Amino acid sequence: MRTADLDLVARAQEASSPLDAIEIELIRSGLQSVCEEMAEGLIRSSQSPNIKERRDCSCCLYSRDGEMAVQAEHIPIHLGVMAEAMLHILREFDVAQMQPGDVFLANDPYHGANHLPDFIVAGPLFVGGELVGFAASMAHHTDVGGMAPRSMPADATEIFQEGLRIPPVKLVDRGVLNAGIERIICANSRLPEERRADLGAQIASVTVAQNRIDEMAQKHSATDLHFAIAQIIGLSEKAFRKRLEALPERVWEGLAHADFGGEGIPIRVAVSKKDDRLVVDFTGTGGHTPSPFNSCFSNTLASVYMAVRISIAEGIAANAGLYRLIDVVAPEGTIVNPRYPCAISAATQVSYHTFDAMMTALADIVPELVLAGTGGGGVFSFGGFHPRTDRLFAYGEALGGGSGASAVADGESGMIPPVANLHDTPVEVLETSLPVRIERYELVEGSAGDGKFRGGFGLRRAFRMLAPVRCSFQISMPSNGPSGLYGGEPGRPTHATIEHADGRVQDVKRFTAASVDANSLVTIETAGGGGYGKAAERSPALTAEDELFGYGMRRAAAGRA
Amino acid sequence: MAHLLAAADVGGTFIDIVLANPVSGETRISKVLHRKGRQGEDIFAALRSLAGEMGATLSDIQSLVVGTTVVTNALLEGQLARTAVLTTEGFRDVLEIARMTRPSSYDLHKRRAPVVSPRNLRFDIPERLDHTGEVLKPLDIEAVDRVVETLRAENVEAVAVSFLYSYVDAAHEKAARERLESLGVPVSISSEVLPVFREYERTAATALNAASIPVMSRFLDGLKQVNDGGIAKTYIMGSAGGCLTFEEAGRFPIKCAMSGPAGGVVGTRELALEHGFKSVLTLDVGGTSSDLAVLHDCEITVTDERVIGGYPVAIASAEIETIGAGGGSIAHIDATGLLKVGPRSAGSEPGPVAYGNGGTQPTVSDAHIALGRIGERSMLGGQFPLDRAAAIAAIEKELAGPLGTNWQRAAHGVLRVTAANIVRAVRAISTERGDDPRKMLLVAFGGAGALHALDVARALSIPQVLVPYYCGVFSAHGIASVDIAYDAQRTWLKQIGTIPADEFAGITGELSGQLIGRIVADGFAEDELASRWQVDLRYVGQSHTITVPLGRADLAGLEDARLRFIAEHRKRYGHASDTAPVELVNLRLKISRQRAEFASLKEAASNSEPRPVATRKIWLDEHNETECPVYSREDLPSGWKATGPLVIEQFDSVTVVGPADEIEVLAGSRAIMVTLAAPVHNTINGNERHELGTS
Repeated sequence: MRTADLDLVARAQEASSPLDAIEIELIRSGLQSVCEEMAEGLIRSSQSPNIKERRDCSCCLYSRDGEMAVQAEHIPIHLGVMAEAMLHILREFDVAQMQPGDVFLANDPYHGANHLPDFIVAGPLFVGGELVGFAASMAHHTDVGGMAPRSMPADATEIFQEGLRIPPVKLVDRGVLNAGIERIICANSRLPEERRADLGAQIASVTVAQNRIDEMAQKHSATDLHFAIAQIIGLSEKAFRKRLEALPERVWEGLAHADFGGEGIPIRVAVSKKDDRLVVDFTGTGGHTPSPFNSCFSNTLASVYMAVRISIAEGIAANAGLYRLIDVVAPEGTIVNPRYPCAISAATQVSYHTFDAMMTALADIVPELVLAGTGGGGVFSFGGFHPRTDRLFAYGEALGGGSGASAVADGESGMIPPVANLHDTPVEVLETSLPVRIERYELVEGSAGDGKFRGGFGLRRAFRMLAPVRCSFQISMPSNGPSGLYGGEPGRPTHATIEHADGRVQDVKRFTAASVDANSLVTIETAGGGGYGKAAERSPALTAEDELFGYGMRRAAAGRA
Repeated sequence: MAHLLAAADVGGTFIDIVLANPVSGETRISKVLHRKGRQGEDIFAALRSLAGEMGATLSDIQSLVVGTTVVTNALLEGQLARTAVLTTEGFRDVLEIARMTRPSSYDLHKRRAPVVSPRNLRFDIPERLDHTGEVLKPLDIEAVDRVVETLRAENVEAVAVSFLYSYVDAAHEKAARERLESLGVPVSISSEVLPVFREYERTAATALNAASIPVMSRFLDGLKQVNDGGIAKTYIMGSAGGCLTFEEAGRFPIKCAMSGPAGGVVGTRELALEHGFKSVLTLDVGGTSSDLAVLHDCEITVTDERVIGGYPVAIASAEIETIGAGGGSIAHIDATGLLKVGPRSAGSEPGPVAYGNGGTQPTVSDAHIALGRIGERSMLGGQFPLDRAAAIAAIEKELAGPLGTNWQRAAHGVLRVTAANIVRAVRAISTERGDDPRKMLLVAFGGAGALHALDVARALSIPQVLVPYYCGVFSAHGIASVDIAYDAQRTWLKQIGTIPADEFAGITGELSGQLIGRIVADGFAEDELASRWQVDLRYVGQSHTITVPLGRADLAGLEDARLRFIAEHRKRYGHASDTAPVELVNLRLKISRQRAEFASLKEAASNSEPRPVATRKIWLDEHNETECPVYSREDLPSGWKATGPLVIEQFDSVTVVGPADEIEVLAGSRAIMVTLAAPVHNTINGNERHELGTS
């Protein structure tokens, strides 16, 4: 399919273009507005806290060949995965048979999706009966079944334990919902009403896209729209090719240690330029784990795309035009391409490290653009019976940490790592709806890696459980703090404890499932960011400010006085 | 007897001043350069001179309403007072964590806005409520006293207090304030500034309010000093569409953070009332940005989701979408070879290339000047000549060359891409809310609003555009007669259908009691006030709410509101449930006092057929230069009709009417109604469409 596309674009570029850079920009601007509109409706009408409060969803448009063309600024990891997932849908369903009003659904990482809670809902877009492209949304659903509330079990060893697998299926046939699929999904979720509402909101977002394309079609023909979409992709490819031409022929090596407790698993990456293509080779990376801490291939691709986008391809509109020129080699059976049926729900936590490995490789090419290692706490989920409603509940959240420092600035504190830009859940929202009390939510003093510029500080979030719950700690970076760059020191690792109701204190040092009684206290202190440059070169003014602000950096301050 | 109404709109570069006689309609305007720190004396000097022209003095002025960006600028430029913040124990860093989010998904180097209060001035105090208001830990008042002692040595200028669940029970915040007041600096508490849930947004609003009290106070003191009893009543324009007494603005300066842009919406509301327009879209294009808003049935839409300078300002303000598209926006070719406009702006220094101040990168204004849409002597009555040749040269070099086209097409491209950027913002406030812009009237104002509105309307298939008479000083004109308004809101989470009538009466009574207390303290009588309730509703399980009016503050009114909510949900999102439980999230109350109504503006001097003051060659499309008549706005009598192409110029604004577009000057407001020529549909060739897309 990719070769065919290249031919198509080449032909389009050679043909005397009916649309120039002005016309294409006008259509691109309109298409971006479609993506924004889809997401706005989805966020405002969904029921998962993840979508409505944390904005864990993304929308994009594809060419009629299923290549990612236009995206709004949403969740980077989603957008990378969505590029791949669409191609898998088209592998299962014949484009020629598609009709207006069809909508497809998939969530299976072994069919190009991310992890099971991320549903991709996609539909073809038609103008006057002619296919012009596809629209899709991806959203994180709170619970899709499996062995633990919220479908992010810490102790799963196979994907079957993580929830309902949905390969690409046709969810809506010419406007008519396949109620059977919906019922299966709802029956497999601990929160069936929420699933029904969120699925409805995702289907509606595809309808929004078709309605807006209908409006655009009053001013642009199907041929023009198709041509513009092909050009949007082609222009990014051309610009990226130019950047690649400017790079020397060599290999840049990167290394990070994927950390979910115990020994780190090396993620080795060799980035090189070959025939004006970027080759990203993960050969030598450690094997997949008997836990959910594995990154499916599409997630690995997404991490690579994100790293390239903010470095070598900086300023170039991200779409399939970049992806066409990137070859990712990830041997099967490694943590970046696990063998079926490995569990996979913590793929995003692996991607923090995949991204860091890419950063260390790219540091020599664009030292001013990369960041030192960024901290994060992973994902903490819990659920059980809500004593006020006597109904099942499930909740979870990704925890930010200290950002890595850069060549010019300290890292910021308590920030979500780069691959997935999420909001926290306000304490007043959480406590009002669930049997939990947040006793502390603050920075972890002293957790930053020192340096000429230090990392940011991690977060402390303390959960007092008001009902017996089952907890799932997909904890991130508990053994090794995020690494520094150019002599900067690593940040402090993540540290989690359970103070059980009976007084027992349990350290959580790796992925852990635990049942706790009411009144237990779970405290998670997330990793601080890595420093950039040597601490000895830190300016006295910044050091003095850290002391004044009580950041607890414990430097040999006396010597400086 | 004092009878004149005055307004001043303090903008970035200019202060616009309007003085009007609401009985005769006689109106005078003036524009003076904004000199920092001297706004007060400049406003009063201008008013004195305008009053003189009308044979009056300052004491003939009944009221002055001032729109000001003083708070906005403090937020944008980080010139906030040194402010301490007290939070619940364990939440010292709520402002620094800032919802944990990154300011940009892809620019990893983009910084969050600086934390309003540095960490050494942030204190957590032992105390804790749960979400029902039950006290889990009583307030440690001695801890507050220790903070007071610490702060004595810190020279803080303001203090904010924001405890968890203070919107349910404010007792702890009030007790803390009592102790903190001994510091002699302003103290803001979150249960008064923004008693709604979500601790980060509430704390940020409270801290920002405290941090802008000193700057607002200085501004108010400056005005009071120069006024010295001359003008009977003085007010500050608020963000939500009403004006505030100086007392209220001094308590809650954060309610004035959108003071400037709100004026345009208020002015539009006046026009809509006068002419009976139902749904209106406003477009205000200035030098660096464009503001857009929607009005339904003469109601100003209000939002809590404003972000200014990276800070969330969750205070009710007119829902105005701002984008970085203005006359100074720079056009460039991006990394992939596409033509982009903004968000970078040449500002007023160096400004557009044609200003001859050293600008080298072509801007939106340069495109207008190159094409002849703005004449070389159009600006400020010809006092400020423009260098058209330089604008053309810059467009050729920076845009047309790289695009492989001629400067005419490139210049039109700049205007079309600008229109497309504005169109995206229009969609964000209309189609994303379930409104159809094709059924709306577009009202254009600001220096460059009229220059872009016709293109925007064409792109959105909006049939008509209205250009108000005083479009260059429209905000100032709008606020001169605005109502005085007090507003309050409060989170009260209850499922509709389960609320006892007495509890509802209790909470609404409490809210209106607090507000009326402030109003009476400011010297108004209760019987001259009008109350208006609204409620924010959502389905149980949702996070976002929809605001709907509450006709009567009782349970029957709530049921009506529930039905309205369901209808609105269906309109916005395309789906809704008639049976799913709906919950009340926030109560809102606005109490206003009506002030004055403008009579019709004074008619043009003559009723005879106006004659063009000049002709000008304009590239109406990229292929043809057309000789267009140029009219002076002052010469156009009410009821006058004409067909384009033609140009209308006034002191600070230009309107270019395209071929076959029809105009009519409306009686009363003297606004120009432009009815756009019916579009010729064409789906074959992009170039032909392009010709239709420009005016």
